[in-house]
Amino acid sequence: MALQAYPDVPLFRYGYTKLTEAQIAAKLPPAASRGPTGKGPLDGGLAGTTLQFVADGGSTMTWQFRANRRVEFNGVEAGYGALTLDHVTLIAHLVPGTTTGWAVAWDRRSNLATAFELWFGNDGPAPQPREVNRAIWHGYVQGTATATAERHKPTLRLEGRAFMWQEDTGQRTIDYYPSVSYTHWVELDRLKEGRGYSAPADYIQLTEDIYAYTRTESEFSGLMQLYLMDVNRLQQIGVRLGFNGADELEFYMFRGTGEWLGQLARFEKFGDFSAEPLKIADGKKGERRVYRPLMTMDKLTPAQINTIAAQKTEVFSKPSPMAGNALPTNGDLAGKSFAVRYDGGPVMEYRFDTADQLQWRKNGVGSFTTARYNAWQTVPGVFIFGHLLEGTPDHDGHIVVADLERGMATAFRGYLNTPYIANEAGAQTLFGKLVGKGIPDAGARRHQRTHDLLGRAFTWEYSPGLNSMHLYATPNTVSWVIPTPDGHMGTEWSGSGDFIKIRDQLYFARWQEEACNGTLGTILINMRTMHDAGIGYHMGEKGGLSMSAVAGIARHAGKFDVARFFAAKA
Amino acid sequence: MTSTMNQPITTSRRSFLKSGALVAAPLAAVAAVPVAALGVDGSASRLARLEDERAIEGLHRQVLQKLNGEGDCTSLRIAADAVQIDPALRAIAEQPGAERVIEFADGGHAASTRHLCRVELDSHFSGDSTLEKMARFQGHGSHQRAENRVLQTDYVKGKDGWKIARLALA
Repeated sequence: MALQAYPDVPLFRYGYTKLTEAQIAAKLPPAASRGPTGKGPLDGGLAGTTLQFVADGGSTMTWQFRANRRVEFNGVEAGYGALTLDHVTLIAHLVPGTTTGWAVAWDRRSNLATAFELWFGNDGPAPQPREVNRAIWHGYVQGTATATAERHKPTLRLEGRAFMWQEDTGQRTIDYYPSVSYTHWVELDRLKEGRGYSAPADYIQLTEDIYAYTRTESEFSGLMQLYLMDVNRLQQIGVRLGFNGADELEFYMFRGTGEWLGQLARFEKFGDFSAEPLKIADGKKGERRVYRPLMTMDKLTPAQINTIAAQKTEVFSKPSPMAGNALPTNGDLAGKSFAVRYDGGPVMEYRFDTADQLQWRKNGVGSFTTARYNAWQTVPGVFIFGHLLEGTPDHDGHIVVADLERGMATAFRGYLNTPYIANEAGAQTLFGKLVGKGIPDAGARRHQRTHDLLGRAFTWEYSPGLNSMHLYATPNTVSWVIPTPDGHMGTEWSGSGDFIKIRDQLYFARWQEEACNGTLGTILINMRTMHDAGIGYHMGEKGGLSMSAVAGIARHAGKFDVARFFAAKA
Repeated sequence: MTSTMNQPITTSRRSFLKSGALVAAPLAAVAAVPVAALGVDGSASRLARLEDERAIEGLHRQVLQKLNGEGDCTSLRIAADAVQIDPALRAIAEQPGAERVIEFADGGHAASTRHLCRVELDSHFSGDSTLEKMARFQGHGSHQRAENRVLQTDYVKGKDGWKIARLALA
């Protein structure tokens, strides 16, 4: 595959070059000498200023700014860039002869400052040298003003908010802040498909209005997006540092303007403003909890999944903590028979023998095959049921929502042996009509894809202590965030999604945990009862091939106003 | 030490058991006193009933001890599936002051009880679902909680005395 600065495939499918520290060091000198670029003018007003930053813990760092955007730091002269947001100046530079750099947010009114130490290479917590490491130092600048005991500090004040930022480069990004330690971003211009991705983040409060944010695109390019935002005035200044998909160094500063997109509920107890729930005690410099699913997931071959499936296949065979709050299974399909004629897909004939055994036949070929299934009826006349199609080469599983009163059905077909990782579930959405005794003829009517869920977030309580929040970030993205026991939203990841309207306030949704555990999750969301019924389809070394219940009780966390950004993709 | 309806149990397992023992103690006393008073009417059937009640309450105390201990109730039950307890159960104690009623059936050869209990549950998220993996990654791979539950027990009387026919927490 030819290198692409901004790949036209999902980022989790792109093979980022494993740049070595030496390769990186060779690419940095011009930018270190020149300083960051900018589409608009950078500030030159620091010339003649000496900035002596005293970090909590005692370290002191000194920057001596000269004319022509030159700065001396640690006895080395570099090019720098600076931008000012009202009374807060952001300074950025690399350190020549090293793979390090700095960004400093200096509040010139309070003289408080936060310094972001940035570095590439092997000497940091990031597993790849190309991923930007950061360590954050809070402190004050020695000068005429007196710094108080107050400090810039990590904050939860941004948790649950989202903005669309448009940089002076023209790039537009939806930045969701659904967590205190993670972020979800959607590049509207540079990346194809309008997908969202998740990444570790820092949220730092500088003033009531001004906050610092970092996003490290871990598991992908390793680029860092760092900016200060005035959330009241919707203004932004920032710096982007790292290597894009073409291994080109990006080191530029930008100004931007924002649009407030909404605010989700927060779930901490009233009075709890703590902001570092996942902090690693005695961690190494820059260390934090970074979820790296691709690194940790099982990666099996087609031969291995065939062997495992033959040895261990579990279909609704045991209780799952992912369904501790599930509705009871429903046996009302027992004794019924019907066919589902999928548009451009198979004709599936069903005979439901009992509450948990059915027979299926595909395209009228051969005899019927017996399979175990489970079903739930969350709205009268609407069933969700799932079963495996034993004998299919890709170990297919069908999860079907059948509306017997309206004659329509939609299925998420799960399958293995994707071209990427054999045990990762692929998914296909099939729309069809039901044909059977007493079932009305839907004619050409079908369930439809919907934007009704777009921008919404629901929390799901699966079992005591086992909760998540879904953010339906784009028309094709589901993101999930894991709360801590005290209600902070913590680590986050995301995958491809699809959203189908079954009836008013009843939606069939799926997500694929691509490059991340490989599960296909499907849920039928009933917004009237705020309860769902769902089915997970999974292949793993430990659990084998499985189909199991997924269900929780919901809270509506909120809805972001983002539909206009995806109107063309409706 | 008390454990009230709305107060989460935050004790260690040992102190939790102590709470249970304190609650259990009056049961033996309640059963023992009427036996001494039986001579008043001399009713053999009442004597038998009181002996049955005492045996069932003794069995109930043994069950609590087993559930708070190694959990093996083999010697107390009639069948392997008679005792159905959430694997997450860590400790169980009767609620102080809760009313106890033993209902007999089948001519005195079967009985059932309902005890309001405070239970401690300790769920370990050891599965390979993404959510469980992420919870473990965050350092939240288990969840402790205390709940009020009803211990429902059915007993049958055989040649070896009373045994548990079915026990479950509702």
